[in-house]
Amino acid sequence: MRRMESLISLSNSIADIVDAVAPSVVQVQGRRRPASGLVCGDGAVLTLASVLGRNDGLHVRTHDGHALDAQLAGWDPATSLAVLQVDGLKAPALSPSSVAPRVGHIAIAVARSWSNVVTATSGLVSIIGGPLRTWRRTSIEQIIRTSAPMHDGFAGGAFLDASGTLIGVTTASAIRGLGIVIPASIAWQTAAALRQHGHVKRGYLGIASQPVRIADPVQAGANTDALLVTHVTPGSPAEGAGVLVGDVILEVDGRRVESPEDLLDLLTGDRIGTAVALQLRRGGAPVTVTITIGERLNS
Amino acid sequence: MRVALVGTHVDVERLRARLDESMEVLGEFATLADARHADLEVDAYLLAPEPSSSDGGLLEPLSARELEVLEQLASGLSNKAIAARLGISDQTVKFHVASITGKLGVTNRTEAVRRALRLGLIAL
Repeated sequence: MRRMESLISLSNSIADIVDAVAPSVVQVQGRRRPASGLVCGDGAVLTLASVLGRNDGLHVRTHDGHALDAQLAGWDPATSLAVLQVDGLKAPALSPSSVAPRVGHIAIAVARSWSNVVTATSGLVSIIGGPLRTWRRTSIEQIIRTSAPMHDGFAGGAFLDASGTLIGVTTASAIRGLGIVIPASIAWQTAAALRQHGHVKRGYLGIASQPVRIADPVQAGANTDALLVTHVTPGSPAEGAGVLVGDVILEVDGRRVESPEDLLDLLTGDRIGTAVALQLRRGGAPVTVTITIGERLNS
Repeated sequence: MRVALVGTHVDVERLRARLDESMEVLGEFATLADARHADLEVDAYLLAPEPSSSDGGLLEPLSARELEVLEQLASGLSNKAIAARLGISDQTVKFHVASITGKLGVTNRTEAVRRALRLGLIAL
């Protein structure tokens, strides 16, 4: 009998957690099927860029069913997080947990169904890994993966620990059956930058490039993917460092770059102003140039 | 057979529609490099064909102004913020974004950025 009581108590605790977070989890209606979003500040909703269409205008439906106009404040191409400005949104803002999640912790995912009702699933914090190149071209320092099942509507939903505190933003994408969750601390940092500046600080070299396959410089007979420089922007750090159209970039700051997205990932805000080495092939010969990373959109 | 799909979202969706039940999709990736990084135990990577011309280029090139808007788009700016930066109206930006997505064969701004990056249209 006592055993059953503890089970009922656990069950009620989970339902209480869902009830408590529900007003802060909204439905986001973009161009595609509706997804979810989290209230992250006064009139601000954090969601995933995948819900965005061509234009800035979206709609948000609140817990009590009200439909509100939402405007894109900005999004981060590196993490795929987006912030919407929603006038008239009264819902309480969530705050991320200051305690690091641990593998094995019980977690609860809360989102909005297509009909805007609250939907919840539970599972474990199954893996904490990263940096991981995950779904739909995204690079995030750390990624949580969970056994909690998540449908499309969970994109932009809440991922909570057993105390009901936010530990992540759910994505509705999975790798090997485990749903991908963006850690709340990373998401909130990005949200703060998007709310303040309308964009996330990114580094800038002034290089347009295309993926190219060349003979591996180390392993004879093997091929490797690299970046062919197709354009150097006048006045850019790349031009200053003497990068030429036709150069093939193999490594930036000791990390291999096999696609323009790899380069995008490397140009994080904290690298602005730092000098890094570019390992190049110029006319087949290895060349190293040093380049100081500038800032994108610094005008 | 377990597969990973590679391509832009629109291309992958088109590919997905053609898959039969024997295919189990383990993941969806923008590039083959991404798919390899994810290190999935797949039997094959299926590359979604791109709707543009066979050499991977665009059927219709982007105008200088569109490239300018694209650069701003790739920084994560809203249409309104792009308009303010370029000194043009929101409506004009909206028009450019529609034209850009149309030429790139994508349906939204996130896909536009990914596609344009791969085509070398955006300076990083």
